[in-house]
Amino acid sequence: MLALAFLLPASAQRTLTGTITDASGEPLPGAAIKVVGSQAGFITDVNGRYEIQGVKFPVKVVISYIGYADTELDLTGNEPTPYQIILDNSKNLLDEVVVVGFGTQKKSTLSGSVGVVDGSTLNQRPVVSAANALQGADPSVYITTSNGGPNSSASINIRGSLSLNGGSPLVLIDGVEGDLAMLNPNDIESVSILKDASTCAIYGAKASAGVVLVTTKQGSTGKAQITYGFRQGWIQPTTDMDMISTGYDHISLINYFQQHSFHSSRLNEYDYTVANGELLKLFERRNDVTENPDRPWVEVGDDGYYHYYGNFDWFNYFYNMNRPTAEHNFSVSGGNDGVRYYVGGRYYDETGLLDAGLSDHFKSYSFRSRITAKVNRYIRYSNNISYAKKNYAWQGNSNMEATLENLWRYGSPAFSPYNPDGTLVNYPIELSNAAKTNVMGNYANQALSGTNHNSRDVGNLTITNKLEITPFRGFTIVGQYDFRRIDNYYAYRTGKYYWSNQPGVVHEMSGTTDSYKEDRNWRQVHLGTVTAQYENNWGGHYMKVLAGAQYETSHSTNLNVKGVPVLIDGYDTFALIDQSSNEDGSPKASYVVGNSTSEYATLGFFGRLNYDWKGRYIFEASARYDGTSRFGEAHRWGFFPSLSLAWKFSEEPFFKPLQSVISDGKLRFSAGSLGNQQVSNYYYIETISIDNTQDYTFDASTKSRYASISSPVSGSLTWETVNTYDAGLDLSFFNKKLNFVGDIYIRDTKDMLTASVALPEVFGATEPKENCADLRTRGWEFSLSWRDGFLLGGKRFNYSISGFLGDRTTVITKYYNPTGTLSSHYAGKELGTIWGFRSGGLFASDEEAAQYTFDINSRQFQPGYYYPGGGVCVDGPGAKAGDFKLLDIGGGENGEPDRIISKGKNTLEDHGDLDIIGTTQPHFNYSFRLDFDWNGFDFSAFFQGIGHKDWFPLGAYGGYAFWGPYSSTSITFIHKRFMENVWTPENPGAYFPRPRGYSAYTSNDYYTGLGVTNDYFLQNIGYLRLKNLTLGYTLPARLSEKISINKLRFFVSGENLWYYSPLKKHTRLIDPELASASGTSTSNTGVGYLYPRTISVGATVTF
Amino acid sequence: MKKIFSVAALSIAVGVLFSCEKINQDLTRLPIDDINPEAYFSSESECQLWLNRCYANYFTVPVSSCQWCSDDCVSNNMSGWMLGTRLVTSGNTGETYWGWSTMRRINLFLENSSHCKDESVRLRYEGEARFFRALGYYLKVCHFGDVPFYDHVISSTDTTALRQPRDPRGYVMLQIMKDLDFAAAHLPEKADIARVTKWTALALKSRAALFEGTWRVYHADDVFAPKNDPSEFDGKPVSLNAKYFLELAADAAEQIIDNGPYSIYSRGDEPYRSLFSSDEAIPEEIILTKIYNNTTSELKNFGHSMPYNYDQYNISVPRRIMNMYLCSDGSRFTDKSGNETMWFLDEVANRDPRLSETFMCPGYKLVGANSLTPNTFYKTYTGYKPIKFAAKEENAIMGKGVCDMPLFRYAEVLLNFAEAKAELGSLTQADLDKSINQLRGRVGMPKLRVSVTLDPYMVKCYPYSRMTAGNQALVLEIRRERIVELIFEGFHRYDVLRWREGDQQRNDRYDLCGKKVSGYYGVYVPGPGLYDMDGDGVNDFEIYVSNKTSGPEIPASNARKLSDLNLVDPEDPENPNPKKGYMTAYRNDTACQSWDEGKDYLYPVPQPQIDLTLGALTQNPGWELQ
Repeated sequence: MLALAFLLPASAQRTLTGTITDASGEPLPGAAIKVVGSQAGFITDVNGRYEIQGVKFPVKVVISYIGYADTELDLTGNEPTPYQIILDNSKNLLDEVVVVGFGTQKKSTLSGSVGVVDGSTLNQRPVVSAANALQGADPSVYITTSNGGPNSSASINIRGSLSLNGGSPLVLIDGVEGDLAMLNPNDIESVSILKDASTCAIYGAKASAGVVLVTTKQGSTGKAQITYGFRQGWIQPTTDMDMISTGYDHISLINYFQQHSFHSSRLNEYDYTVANGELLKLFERRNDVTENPDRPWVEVGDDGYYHYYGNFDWFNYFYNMNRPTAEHNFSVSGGNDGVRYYVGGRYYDETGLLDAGLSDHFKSYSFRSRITAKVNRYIRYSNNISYAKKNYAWQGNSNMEATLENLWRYGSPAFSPYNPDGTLVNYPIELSNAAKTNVMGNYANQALSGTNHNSRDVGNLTITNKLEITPFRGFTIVGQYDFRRIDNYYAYRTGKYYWSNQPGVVHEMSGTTDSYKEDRNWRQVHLGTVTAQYENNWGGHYMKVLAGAQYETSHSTNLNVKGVPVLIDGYDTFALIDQSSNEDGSPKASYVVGNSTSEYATLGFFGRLNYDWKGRYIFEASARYDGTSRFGEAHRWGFFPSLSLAWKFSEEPFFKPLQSVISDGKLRFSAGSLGNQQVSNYYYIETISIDNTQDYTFDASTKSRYASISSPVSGSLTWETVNTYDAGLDLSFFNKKLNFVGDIYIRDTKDMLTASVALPEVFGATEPKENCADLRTRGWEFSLSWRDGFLLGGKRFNYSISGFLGDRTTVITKYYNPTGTLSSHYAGKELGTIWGFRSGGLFASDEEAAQYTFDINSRQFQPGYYYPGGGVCVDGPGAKAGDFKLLDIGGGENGEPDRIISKGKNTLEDHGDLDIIGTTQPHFNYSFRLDFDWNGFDFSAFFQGIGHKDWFPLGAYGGYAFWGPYSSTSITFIHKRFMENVWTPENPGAYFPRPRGYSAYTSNDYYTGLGVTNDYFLQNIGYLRLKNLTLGYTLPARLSEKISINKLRFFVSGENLWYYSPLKKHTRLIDPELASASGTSTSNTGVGYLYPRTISVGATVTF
Repeated sequence: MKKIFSVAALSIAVGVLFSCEKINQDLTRLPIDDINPEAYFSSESECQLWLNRCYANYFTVPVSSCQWCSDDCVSNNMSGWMLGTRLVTSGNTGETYWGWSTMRRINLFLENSSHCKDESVRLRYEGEARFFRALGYYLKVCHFGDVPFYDHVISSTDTTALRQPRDPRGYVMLQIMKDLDFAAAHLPEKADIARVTKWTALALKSRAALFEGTWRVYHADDVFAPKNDPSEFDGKPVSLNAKYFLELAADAAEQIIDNGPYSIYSRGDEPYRSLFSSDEAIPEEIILTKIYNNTTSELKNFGHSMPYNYDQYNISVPRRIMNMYLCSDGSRFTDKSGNETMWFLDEVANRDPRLSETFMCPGYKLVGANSLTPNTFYKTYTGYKPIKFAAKEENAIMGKGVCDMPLFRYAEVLLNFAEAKAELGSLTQADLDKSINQLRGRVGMPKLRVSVTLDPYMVKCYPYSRMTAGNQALVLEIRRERIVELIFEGFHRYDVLRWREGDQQRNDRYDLCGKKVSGYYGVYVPGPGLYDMDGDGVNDFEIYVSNKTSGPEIPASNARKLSDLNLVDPEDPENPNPKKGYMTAYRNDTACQSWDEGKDYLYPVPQPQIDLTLGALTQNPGWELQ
């Protein structure tokens, strides 16, 4: 206990006493409380008690405590005594320090647009990597994963599409480029999202799509802290995958669709008929969940072949519907005046989706150390090392997504995976109608054979050395050298496998080989940075100047080797390639080797000036001058300036009266220009490659090779330029309980590299790309948060609600498209625009349908209705009640209907019956979260979603999940309740039309236009998702300390627990986030690695 | 301390600025595993690798779906120019049409071939490049007539070259001849079936010159007559006419005949058939071939689709062409009484052996097969089912045909020679003996005499041949020989163009019985019944009215329903269900019924190309947009 001396007049003086606690009511010993304008103050005792004598009310006091921002309180003297002061756990947002490019800045004087994500909201999420955790963390950030698997890649964009040539944000982890998918979310201290040109310009050419700045945790002085966290989770699909698993129901449904299709030659896709008794056999076994010895699922027929009459649940056989995942986290941090350190490690393990004893498996390890040492008064040295590795191993085909897709084809619960003698089932007689098609494209056999397995390893190593020299106060020179190495290592082993469709006869799968392939590529990056910074303030002026330079080189190499034949199954090594010779002396072994190498280098000079007067008028200017090896010497350099201004009007004297309501208010404006160098490394020069083979032979033994030159290039190729204008308003109300941040912005991308002019064909090559297209994005976003607390049952109850909403629209403002063809972009096109037909829904009666095909010619898109003779369709030819109708809305004189469904010339001027029916761009992305804590309990719920995004399900190969048997009738998986949505005379209000197989399959002669882009089947895949729900309980310190534990917290956490999407009305099988995913075998189908829902329990303990 | 640091910082800054220029150069990164064009073309293998692409680009699959066919071959996939569906607004920008990427490749080579310091290597590959430039321009002239000629790589900013008008075909043909003369002078003399040689260059020269020469004969008075012929070329005066090119054609062909290493292959029982059914090209006669092979692992799927495509596309030959095959004694089939309604088995008996070596006739066996294959009119419109390029049973699958496809063969050279001479009016019996009669000799047919009389049937087929005076009978006999010898090798469609006989291939012109009917006629079917189609004395084929009547000895696959044969009874052509008559393709279809004499001999220049050159390119007659 230490009381400070005070010297004040004695009049109207009282003693101020009370306690200072944190939000949970725990007393804070050692907190400083000080009376503003006097020397009076006090440091709290172990019970958080304070006492200041002789205080003259009203008074302003400042409370300071380590880890908390200073808190000012105005006291009238009427407060209860003793007066309890509660420091808000959630830091005082507006006084936060924000990480920006090459430094930090006080949020209060920030003039650019920066989104800040607190690491604690990411830390304990049960997710694979930081990329998943960041989804929905900021209104400007839109993250999609390539599929639902643990090894999927994430694509990030900030404020919409930057350029037709792509462009993804620069992700910097402690100043070095990194991969969010390789980052342990528990290592994150904070994330800054730099959105506008003023904040990004310092990074120049790479930053035109925005910057994600991740700062990892570092040690603080004091007692060493050891933290260990453990989590065990279970992953299920987000969707309801309750598939038909009885042969009878499956075959009946499939063949019903087939019989009512215009698909010509066969009535039964799977060859089971009533006439031959096969259907009866299936019916008899319909209720046999397991095989009844009296009614075997596989019989040998009179023809000597196996015949299949089972109820095999392929979906649950192949898919693991409740797969475990576990995570261990470990960190040690601490330090003293000289050295501070943080060391963290993580092990993550996820059992994959494929079951049947051949599970795919994902593991990742990461390690990070961060050590800072004070060498002397002037010099500080720090060293960061991080290594992350992930491994994914799977069986079967080298393309996992292709396996998942092919399981949907030519399978049936009637079949079993194995024959009674243990051989693999394939080419069953029941598929002979379908031209003797193999079951599941052989992919199931390939996976089950055990002779085909693959693995993929990715390793990221980053080493950072940083020297900070501070010769005198306010001046700092930083020299930094970073090294990165990224390794990708793939290994594929393929082996022969065998199948049978009759007892005693086993066939080798044709085309299979015993081969082993390794594909290794590695990339090394060296990055050197020097910056100098000077900072000073005088008489209300504040100024900071930064200048620096950065040089980067990157070298990547790929080497792949494939060798055949490998002698022994199960071994993955070139050492076991058969080295013996054939009879003619030629070696049996053969190898294919591929190799490629590529390099780039960039150099940039940059500077920034910050100035403010009394924190009221704020000015910032920055610029970067960047050079890249990707352009020719004359066009190599680009200059990218930016400027931002802010007026913190709440600091103005005239604003004082309003401060009790609006505690803080700031207007911001920024403008600037950035570059985009999104071209391949050697795009600007023509090169000759000789590693090409063609379908021509000169010697009857090898394909001939030939040399080829890359496409001609424009001599003047240079940067795309991105100009950004941003205006923002920051407001805080009610003593910063309510906070608002809003921005509107325009982003102009100029001089995008596209084909410049169409050259006559005599040119003899593709037109060189030039900088000649523009696009403009306009958008807005805002976030709103409320945080407060009250006493409940004598304990502090803290809660907060926050949310955001953002939207943007991107329009192409310049594009070379003289004919106005819709198959290309055109000026004025909103990015993502979907052109399609309008539909009149389903025909109510046969008469209406007949009249329609009499009145209107839709043959081009609904050939099925005009198919001569109708094939063997039991309904006969033509359209019927329940069939699907396209509307004739144009194409004739003055855009009048012309009685023909057509695309016209597919141009802007003549687009027939096409109309703009939707957009593939996501609109209105939003999220909101609710947190509270009380008496050791903490709770958070995080919702995230997209207001609107259109998706047209692919009506061709692979579109099985949405279309079911409307795509191809030969599909394996059909939801048990699929028919509820299907039109029948008894179910006339259904969404899907009259059941006809192949009617959505656009690439055949039988379809009826379901799969041609139209507004009826256009799906809104906007969604609202309960992204995360966490409930935790922290043991009171007095209890945990008894077992020498500082903190012990138990938690239950759920990821993707619930969602709503309009898509749910039309399909149960497709998660909206998977629908338009790019990483599925055939994109735009929703057939791929199932989107995960994870429920976890765990504990974190700190010593 | 302060001062020291300030000075240090300043000197770093100055140092950085001074090193800027060096740094700018240091930023250059040149490709590591690709080659800079400045350094390429210095060795033989580099030249060869570059020009290899020309083979693949110009020698596309010669026989695929009969898309290149004319009235010598009807299918369910007739080409646009036969159907009258060619469009001016799009298309035709393939390499052999209005596509120019191979031309750019060739000119790029010729501009940079000086990198090759070994002169003999350089000249040889310049020869190869110029052969392909000639081939490319020859095809362009065939399709478009006048075309812009370029001997250099065009820059994307060279608007003069990009908007160059079409050069007169006479000028382009002279350039072709010049390139081929250069090629013939520098390409190797040693025969090589895989790469072009001196002889390939001369063979192409005879082909191209004959095309231009006969074009000038038969299109002399129509809208396709060559215009604006140059009066000077390469500094020398020239006077272009039909004779000029016909003499070049005859001369080039004669050089091969007199000095070349080739002869007409005539070993074995069926030398003509085995020329096309053997796995490996026969080098005595084949000058250049496209090799097909699937024996090595790398070439596993390296086959063509003949004869699979004969079935796939119902490829068959109309009776009009079949009638041109002479009888084995040299007499004309069409002179025989009753030939019009002769049943297939009688029709194909005692004919030029090339008939049964080209079509499925009694006695036909697949290569290596022991049993006979009867022609059961399976997947055919006319009943005349081709077997040229058919080999073993295993080759009858899509992409599994492996007989090499002739691109240039000696027989064509002989036919070019004879035709050029005949058109010039200077064909002698000695000329015939060293050309046409070599071909006749191979199959044991009597010799053709210069004294041959005019065949009225051939006149009916080729009425425009009247335009040349005096030698019409010989010209027509040589045409007959050309059609019979070269059928399915891709020549006839170009022959039809240069002979100006496009109108004759319309399917509504065939009135063999003097009546106006439509459709390509085929085999005359006398009526339902059992037939012996393989000639082994046992019936193996049934034509039935409503139901198959034969027992299991004739499998269902060998039985055809009468109505499926799509017969037309010449005595009752309107009867939709006759009991006898000709098998017919496109009977009730409007397909192949249009031919515009003022338009269809050339392709339209793709309209977008005219627009892109701001009208510098002009359109061909009849194709101008209204």
